[in-house]
Amino acid sequence: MKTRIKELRARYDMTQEDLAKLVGVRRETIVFLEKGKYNPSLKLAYDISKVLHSRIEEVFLFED
Amino acid sequence: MKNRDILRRQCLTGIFFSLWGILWLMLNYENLFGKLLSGFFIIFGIFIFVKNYSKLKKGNYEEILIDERMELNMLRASKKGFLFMLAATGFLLLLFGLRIINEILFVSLMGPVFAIASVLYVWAYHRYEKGADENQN
Repeated sequence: MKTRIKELRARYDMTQEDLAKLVGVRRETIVFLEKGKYNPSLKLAYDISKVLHSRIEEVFLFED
Repeated sequence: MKNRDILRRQCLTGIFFSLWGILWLMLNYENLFGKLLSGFFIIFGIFIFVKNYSKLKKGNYEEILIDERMELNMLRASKKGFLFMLAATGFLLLLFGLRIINEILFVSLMGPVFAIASVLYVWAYHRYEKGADENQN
């Protein structure tokens, strides 16, 4: 799974720490999400997408 | 989960160590080494309990955020520790059942089994936190 979290974060001038606080997780979790090494819960994916003003499928890119 | 819950768990761990020490003392009351080791477990358990209970009562704790990834890693590490415990206890029960070891040796070997399982849990947790086997979830 790939994500556009880093790109969207940069668009809104947001640090990993800022995003982590807004969605209620640790910064390490954001790091692993950006690397595509962690599959988030649906709620976390939804919260991140909401904070980044995007739809889930725009933030998380699933490969078939 | 907040740090308060961690302190509560540590209080329970202290009680567990003390109870383990008492059980060991009951089985090793004729053996000086057994008595000393039992005493150590009882005192260590009481120390852990008192230390964490006083912190809990004073409200002397920080709020630590435990998110879903951390919970998942704890769960995966617990699974490793539990599987080891299950296998090791089963093996010891088999030896005990076949009369290869007696009840004193059985109880004495359970201590190292608990210790190894705890170390395995901590090791596995830190390994998962560093990102090992992330694709499994």
